[in-house]
Amino acid sequence: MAFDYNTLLSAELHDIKNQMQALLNAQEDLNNAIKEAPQFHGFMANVQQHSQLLNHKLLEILSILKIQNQAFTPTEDEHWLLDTLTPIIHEFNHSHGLMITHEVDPDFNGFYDEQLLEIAIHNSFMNAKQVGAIHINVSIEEFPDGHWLINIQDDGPGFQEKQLFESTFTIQGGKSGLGLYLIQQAIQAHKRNDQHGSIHIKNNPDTGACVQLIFP
Amino acid sequence: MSQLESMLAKKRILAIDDLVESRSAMKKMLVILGADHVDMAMDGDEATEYIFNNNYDLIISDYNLGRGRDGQQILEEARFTRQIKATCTFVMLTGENAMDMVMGAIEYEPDDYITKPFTIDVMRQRLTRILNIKEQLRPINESIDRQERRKVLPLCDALIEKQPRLKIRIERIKGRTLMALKEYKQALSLYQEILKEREINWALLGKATCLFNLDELDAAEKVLNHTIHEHPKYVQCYDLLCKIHLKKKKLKNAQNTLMQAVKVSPKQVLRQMELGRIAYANKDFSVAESAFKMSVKLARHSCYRSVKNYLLFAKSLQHKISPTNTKDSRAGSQEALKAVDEARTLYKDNNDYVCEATIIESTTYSNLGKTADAKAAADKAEILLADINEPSGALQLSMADVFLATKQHAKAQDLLGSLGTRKDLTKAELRELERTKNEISEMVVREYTTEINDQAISFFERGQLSQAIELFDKATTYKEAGHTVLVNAIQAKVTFMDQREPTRSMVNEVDELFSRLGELATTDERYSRWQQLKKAQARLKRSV
Repeated sequence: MAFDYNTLLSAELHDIKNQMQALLNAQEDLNNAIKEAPQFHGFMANVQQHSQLLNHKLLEILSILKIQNQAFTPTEDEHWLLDTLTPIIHEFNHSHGLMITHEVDPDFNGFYDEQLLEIAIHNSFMNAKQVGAIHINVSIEEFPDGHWLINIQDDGPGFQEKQLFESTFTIQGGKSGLGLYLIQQAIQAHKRNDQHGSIHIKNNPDTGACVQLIFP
Repeated sequence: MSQLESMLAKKRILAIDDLVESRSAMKKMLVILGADHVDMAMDGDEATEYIFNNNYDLIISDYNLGRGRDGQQILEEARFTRQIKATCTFVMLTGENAMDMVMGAIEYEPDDYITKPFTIDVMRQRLTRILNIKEQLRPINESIDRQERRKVLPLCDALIEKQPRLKIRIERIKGRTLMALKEYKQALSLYQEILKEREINWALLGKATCLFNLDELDAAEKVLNHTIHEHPKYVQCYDLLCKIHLKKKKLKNAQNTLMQAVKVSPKQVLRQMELGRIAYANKDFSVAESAFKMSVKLARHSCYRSVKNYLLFAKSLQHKISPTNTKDSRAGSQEALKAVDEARTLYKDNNDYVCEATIIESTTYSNLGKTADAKAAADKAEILLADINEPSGALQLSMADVFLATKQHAKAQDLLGSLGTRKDLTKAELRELERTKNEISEMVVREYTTEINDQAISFFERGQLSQAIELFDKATTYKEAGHTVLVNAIQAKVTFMDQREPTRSMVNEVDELFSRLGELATTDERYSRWQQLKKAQARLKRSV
């Protein structure tokens, strides 16, 4: 029998996921233990930042493996957007020195693949951070025909002219290129009846960039 | 106190995880979030035990629980046996996206999925949300728990009006309720409305289920094929598709469909059993064998454990058992005998089951060519069968088969004779009856009657006429009884009446034997005896 790398790989990843969960739990314990010792909080924040990033990278690897599989269909289920957003916002506000605000109705729910949206949001925030943005605002728009979108606006330098006119994003062009490519793949996988999701990038009238995640 | 804390403090909670660290981490997390009563279980068996003995408000289970049952199976069994209420919240923790897992039955979906790894933040957020939603759905779920289905519908409509964001969730309950009420037309139009907006998988399955129940089989099949194409892991669709094939009498298609389903979800007992039965009917014994083998294994500690699993497994193994001592045959017979033993031990108080198990044991030995063992088991089964008040037709049929296999054709014929008078046989059983009847060889029965004849003669020669007559009566009940037997029977009875006194009934019996015998040719060696006996009979007739 041919050697099955996929099975082996997914078994390894499964173990890594369990380890990751254990690490996050241990961290939480440590966090509680040093509650009264503020001199350690800085170190702790540092550890948390890295482990959370590692966690996201793990999710990304899993999702990339999934998307490249021909049989992949996203799991579009009903979710409450704020449930997905809050932990990510919380993480970036605490450990990445960003200020992220949102104008999302706590009761807003939609159909999407949660893991894919997490990747898209996380990469959007990461991109903004890397180009020097400090403040990010997340808002949503709903349309009568049922489609809806998420606006992610930052106060960074905005996109370059030539980037704005590219209709597809490639994995070339450094870190933000990879980020946008992933975001696009994650959102495009969404489908309603015959329509697919898409992303749109633009610059804000005054300053900063805006990434729109459009759900069909 | 946060909202979540006050909600959790009042709740009776069960957390299920197979890894010891995950379990204690989960408990810690729940306690931090405000939980007071948390029970922990490490696998399906323990969880079932806890669920059986307690009334939980919230159950959080890992999907993957190692070797035993998974979280979905625990949920399905608990809802199936009504051990948990509709008001109980069930949250599934998954290593993967929800849909990578096998989707369970429509009616046995968890209230929420949380993907691992997760932080306490995620847990807080999700539990707050789902417990809030569940609280809003409480009046509806309470009606469901009270089985007041008619009340569920207006409650649903009222809540949709009040909470339009919960529309999809409520409509799902509504669809389920309409189907439970057999209002398929109404349910169908509800699903069609939902599908106009978005192709949600459960609405597709709902639509197909309604169409099936409205007998629009082709339309239902079309919807299902589309759904399976889009959501290949949605195993429920295969189950319904299989039902459609069965209804259309396409057994081969039904089997193939279920084979796909068990590839996706090998752990579901009922599906494996169904596949086994269909494959067995299709005479695809190796598929039947592996399906029943899985059923036995999976059901061992579950509410679906049944004697049928063991017995059908043992039956499906027979195809590879032969007297040729091959590896396959040895392994097969060992497995079959083990299954039979297990069934007999587990269901020792049920005569029907023990008898059926013993019948299969005998068949196994017959196929192995071990005639003595086969006969011994057959004898045991015969005694057990005699003790059963109202044996089923199927049981009698298989006993008849065993009689045949152990060369007891006459007994087989007796049994088949009484089976023939039963009015409760299914069509399949009637076919089986015909088939078995045709297998009875006349020669063997004749040998048997000859054997009785010889015994009877020895009684006759010793002057024990009553015993001789009794045996001749037995021998002559078979239509295959030969001329010699008939002539001997006549002789015994005539002699008896000569020595004692002739009775009308016995004279009639002798008459009947004569008419069965017919005319003997003058060349027949029994001719002169026949002639004498006829004269004697005429004399006896006059005297009565």
